[in-house]
Amino acid sequence: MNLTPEDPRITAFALGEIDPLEAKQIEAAVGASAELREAVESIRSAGSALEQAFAAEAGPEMSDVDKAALYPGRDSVPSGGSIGRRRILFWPLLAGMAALVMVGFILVPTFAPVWESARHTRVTVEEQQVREETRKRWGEQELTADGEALFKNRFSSTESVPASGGEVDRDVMDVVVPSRESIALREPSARAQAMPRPKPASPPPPQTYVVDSRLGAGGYGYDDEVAQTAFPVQTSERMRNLQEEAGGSWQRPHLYVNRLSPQDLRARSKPWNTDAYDPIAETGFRSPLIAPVSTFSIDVDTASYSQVRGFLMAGRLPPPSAVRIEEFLNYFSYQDAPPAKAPADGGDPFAVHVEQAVAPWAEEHRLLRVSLKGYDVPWEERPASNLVFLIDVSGSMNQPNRLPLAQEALQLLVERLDERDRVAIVVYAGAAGVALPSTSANNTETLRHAIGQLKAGGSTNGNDGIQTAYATARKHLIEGGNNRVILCTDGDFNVGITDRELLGEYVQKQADEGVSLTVLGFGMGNYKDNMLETLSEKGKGTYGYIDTPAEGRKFFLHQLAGNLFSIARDVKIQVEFNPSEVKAYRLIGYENRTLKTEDFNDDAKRAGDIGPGHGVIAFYEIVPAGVEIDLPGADELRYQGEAAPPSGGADGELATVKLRYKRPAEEASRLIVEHIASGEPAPLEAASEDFRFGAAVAAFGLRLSGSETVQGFEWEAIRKLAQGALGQDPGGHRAEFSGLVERAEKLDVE
Amino acid sequence: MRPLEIIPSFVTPADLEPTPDQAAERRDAHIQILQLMQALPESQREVVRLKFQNGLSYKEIAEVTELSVGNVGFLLHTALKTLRSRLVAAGE
Repeated sequence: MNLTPEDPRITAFALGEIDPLEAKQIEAAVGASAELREAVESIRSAGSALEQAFAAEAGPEMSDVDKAALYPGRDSVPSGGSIGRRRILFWPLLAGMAALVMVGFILVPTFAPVWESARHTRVTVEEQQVREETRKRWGEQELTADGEALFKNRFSSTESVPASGGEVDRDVMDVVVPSRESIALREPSARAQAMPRPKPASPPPPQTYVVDSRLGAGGYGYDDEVAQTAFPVQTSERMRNLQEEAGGSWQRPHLYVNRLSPQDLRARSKPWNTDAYDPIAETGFRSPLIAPVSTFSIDVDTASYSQVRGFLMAGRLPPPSAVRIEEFLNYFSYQDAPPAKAPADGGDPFAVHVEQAVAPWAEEHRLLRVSLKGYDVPWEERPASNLVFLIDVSGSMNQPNRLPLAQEALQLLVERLDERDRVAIVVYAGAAGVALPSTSANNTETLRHAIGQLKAGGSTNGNDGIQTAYATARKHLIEGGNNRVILCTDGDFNVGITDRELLGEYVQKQADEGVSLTVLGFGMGNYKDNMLETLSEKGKGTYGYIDTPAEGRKFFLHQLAGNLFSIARDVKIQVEFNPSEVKAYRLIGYENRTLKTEDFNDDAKRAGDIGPGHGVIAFYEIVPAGVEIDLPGADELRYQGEAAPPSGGADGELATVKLRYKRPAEEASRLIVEHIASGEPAPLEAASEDFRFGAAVAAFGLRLSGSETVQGFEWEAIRKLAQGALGQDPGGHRAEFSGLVERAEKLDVE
Repeated sequence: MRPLEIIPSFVTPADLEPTPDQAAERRDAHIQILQLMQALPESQREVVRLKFQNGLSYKEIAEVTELSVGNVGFLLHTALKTLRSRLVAAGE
């Protein structure tokens, strides 16, 4: 046998792929040659290094639910003798198979519709030939529009194949091909019937970011070495060349589902999107004659800002639906004064401030800034805390900006607690169960050790994670104290209650009964932002996104008290505008938080909570009476004149701001009312720093979310506005914001 | 009560981990190999992943990718050859 190390058989032999007979011969040859032996050894060690690297990399896996949804055929493909040998094995993750089958079984009812349209494509001999033709050209991801049409056309003529259930043709392989069409378009697969002429395919989505998440982190982690793997498919040079080569863009249907564009994933099945952001409907301008009252719940979450920062730092503009402007505004701290009177002396737990000035992007418009500032509770006087950390330890958490960051942040928190507090750790997804039973927080060493011992690994496959966490919290419930589950996850979220609705209800019930939920996101990629935001809302807790140690410090050191317990609950704001002064108004942000007018006085309707030292900012853009504006068409009102005469003492008032809140232990809400005088608005330069900075942030958010109204306001102008209002800037967050505006400017021109 | 001032700037449980240096080294090695992967042509990368991440046999890879077994063998052989030589070069 004439073997050199260059011979591919050496590799095959090293990897155990040679059949026994030939293997004996090769073994002899290898035994006789040091060179060959060395080659074999080095091949094997390279192989095992690769295995380890992939295992450690553990990119955001498709959750079992996604897998079950897409490969139902795994459990139902007939394994008749004739095709047994040619059966295709997809994703043979042996360890997870049992779990997969179980999960698939449980989820059958939910995903029945997807099953029906999943493609059991019988691949005919003709298709084989076509595939042979183009196998060299296999490249990346989706079929383009032309490709789809071509593909459908080609594979419609499978008359020779009986419908499923018929005889199996020897030349035919039973293939479950989760092609893009079956997933995105849910059309009946090309089976025995000839399909009608293909309709013209819809235009390809404009910016398809295909994230090859196998390459780790879904490409979005900003300090991730392989973040560059996410790239826009449509503009890839290589893709275009391939398409041209293939003379019309027939492409091999891709097999790896993680490469679907976010649009396809969304279209596939609603609750289980990856990269899921709820779309935001921008509140347009409204006339006070038609909608005199604007009501919304406060929100002190900051996750959207951290995430958008992550996008920008990674070199791409965020999806517009990831932009929640209220979370941008609330990310920063402002100089608003806390209440003058302490609550013990009968004062309200927060103070209300209003300010008006000319809007920076529209000279005739004004901005109205409404802010709340909660009073500060000295740390020693805080209520005792009973905390349960519910930590995602799935494989995907195994990256530097995920579990290790969570561990660091938790260490910080634990350092700040003392013997009045209790801490427990429950893990899910991978390992499951109580990692540390509820322990008094003065046992610092025990806690540090337990946190340090956490390891990520295994697939996302949890059971009872969240129920265990709440049960643990209940076991040591502190009456009147701060009982809280703190969820740390990268969004790969499978805590035992898979139905999003049910999970929300469960969390809400627990919150009503005294155990709230704070949600912390780590890392991007499979990040279920919408679900996590909703959960934290129902759980009466904050939702933060921690992408760097600095952010961890911000959350767990500087703003710790605010993030842990509340000083006022169910805080709602209602603003009534005076039609004789205001032609139109709009609330910037808070789209997810708007309430119905009657909800304001309905104490049963929940709203957000405020923690000590928290500030809440909202901006209204106001078009004063007398200024022209195009409003969504509503008919002339019959029973109300153009400018309703102001009633009793409301002369010269722009608007009235009302707030309702509940003290922590009370069920009945309290009311605060403030009237805002109208008059010449201050010019922008005369407005306070906080106002100007906030205006810059609002403009930034509006531009990022694609709002038409500020398109004329240049990025550079936004940046200048922010720069001129940095103030003291403890923590450097405002300066950082300025940098983000610059980045956005650069990215926007591409 | 723990006043803010005496908290060390970042508490890491490094002292609790068995061999932090080794862990870091391993991590670096992983990152390095993944980066080297990036330099391979797509076809080779795909096959390497199927073999070493998903654990498929040559035959299975051939079925999944619709190449011949010989093709698969050749791709893997070339990929490993490249990776090995680059790893050696990097090590020096």
